[in-house]
Amino acid sequence: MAGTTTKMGIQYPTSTDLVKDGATAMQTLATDVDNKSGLVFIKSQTVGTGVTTVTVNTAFSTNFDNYKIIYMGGSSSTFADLWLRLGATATGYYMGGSFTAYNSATVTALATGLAAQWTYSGIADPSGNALSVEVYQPYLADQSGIAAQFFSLGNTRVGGATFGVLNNTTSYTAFTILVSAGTITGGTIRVYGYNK
Amino acid sequence: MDTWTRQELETAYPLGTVYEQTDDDLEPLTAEDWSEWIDGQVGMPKHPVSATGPTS
Repeated sequence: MAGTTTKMGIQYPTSTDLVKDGATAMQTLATDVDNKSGLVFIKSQTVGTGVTTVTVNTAFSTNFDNYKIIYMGGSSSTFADLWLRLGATATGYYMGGSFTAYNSATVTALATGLAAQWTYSGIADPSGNALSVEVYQPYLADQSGIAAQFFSLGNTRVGGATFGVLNNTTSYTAFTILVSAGTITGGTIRVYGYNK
Repeated sequence: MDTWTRQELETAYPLGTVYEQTDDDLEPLTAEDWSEWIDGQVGMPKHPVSATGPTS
């Protein structure tokens, strides 16, 4: 290997290296990209029409501890919230946070206590759906955490932040997005992993 | 507070038009699940706490 890239330190060969070493060079380069990329795309899921729940399987694995899930676009049939569950678990979710209406500086506190889901994970709106959350260590046999940017693409809604924990030590590979009222249509869910 | 009635929900979401999605698979709610889903939304506010923003 003749050099490394400036920002990520990825090794690369030069034109004077032997052709017979090309496969080894490619493997080294690929391994470096695998190890040094900060946020790695895992999968995407397009949401169908008239949907109440969307389950995304094989999202979490031993490859990553922490994840970013973004669902943007589409629309909802009515004003609603987007909820999040891990696996088939429907108990043990705690969440707190705050928000303000877009046209008001009054802060409103949110707290769910023990709930059947992370209730304030995102917002479904006829103008577009928005869910942007980080989920911490869902695959590990430990408590899972969430940090949500709670905002809407509809201009009559709210913006804020919510945080929570799922109080068990179950390992999860899947998650489900639920809508609190009505249905959602369209948009894309994308899952990324934070490299270890 | 304006809340959903069963009649409004049944009109807005007829049986066969509401789905559950698992990965790429879309399955319509069965009649039993659909009725249960409707029941769960009767009396719920049309504007949840996240929809209290001014409309101007």
